[in-house]
Amino acid sequence: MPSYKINLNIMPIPSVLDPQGEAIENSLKNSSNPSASGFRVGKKITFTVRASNKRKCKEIVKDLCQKLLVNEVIEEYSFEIYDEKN
Amino acid sequence: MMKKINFAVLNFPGSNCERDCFHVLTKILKQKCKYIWHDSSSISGVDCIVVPGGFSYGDYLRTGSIASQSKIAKKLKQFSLNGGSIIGICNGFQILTELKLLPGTLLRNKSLRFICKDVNLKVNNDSRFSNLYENNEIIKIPIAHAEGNFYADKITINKMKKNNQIIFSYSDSNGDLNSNINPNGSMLNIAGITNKSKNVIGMMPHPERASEKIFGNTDGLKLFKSVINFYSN
Repeated sequence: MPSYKINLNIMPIPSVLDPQGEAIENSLKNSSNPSASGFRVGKKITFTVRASNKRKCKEIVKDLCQKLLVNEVIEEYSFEIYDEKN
Repeated sequence: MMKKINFAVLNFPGSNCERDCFHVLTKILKQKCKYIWHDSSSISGVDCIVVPGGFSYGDYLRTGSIASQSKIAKKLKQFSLNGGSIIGICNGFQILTELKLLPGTLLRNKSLRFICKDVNLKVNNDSRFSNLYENNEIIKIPIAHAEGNFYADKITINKMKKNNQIIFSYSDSNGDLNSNINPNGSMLNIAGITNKSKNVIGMMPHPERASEKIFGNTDGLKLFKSVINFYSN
């Protein structure tokens, strides 16, 4: 059965205040280059899934996100699937 | 003499308030109480379960999320459906929201700081967990958390208001719920809520730390007494 490498990106939804992102932005305002804004801090989780095909793999990842990896009250997610090279 | 009911205190790796709860229930209130370990799959002969505070599973991923996958957590859902009483304190509250037994979730405190201090709470006495308080009574209970900033979407908040599910709110000593006294950024100054059927409560303040005269504060005791009172009627 093929193995797939997953890169899962989790971000706070726009209506959730992200004090970490705000703190980063405020600290950069004091630096010499204040051109960047809109910082949001999320997390990235990588793992491997064995599945018969890519479509099945996608279903498994979604299920894992809903069960544990993501709290959809406050977070949204996206992921990329790569064929794992042996 | 006070009626005796059967309590249980859950215990996860990283829980650290389970002994305080057990002590208050058995030594101060003279109730029957047992510990239930996280990988147990049986809850029997129990009226009220306390999910204590602490840092279950090191707060990995999100606070309470790993504990919500444990064997006992799944049994907790059934216990709730059968109408059993559940009190989630601090990390216990976080676990109950991850289990979807309570609405919303707890975010990092707005200040990003761990806050440990006494706070004033305004009480709504319309629940089995608060029936011995006066309505709108102001009590003092300590908080100790880094993730106590209650968040839910607008629809959920409106439903909670309509169902009278907000039991404890951060308040000033006059009962005013203003943003200046909100310690963590919680929506509507929320400190404690119930589920829709009002048999499950989650709260960030620690009533077990305000239940003995030796600590100079017994405002938390009435919460546990309210549950006992509920089963006495």
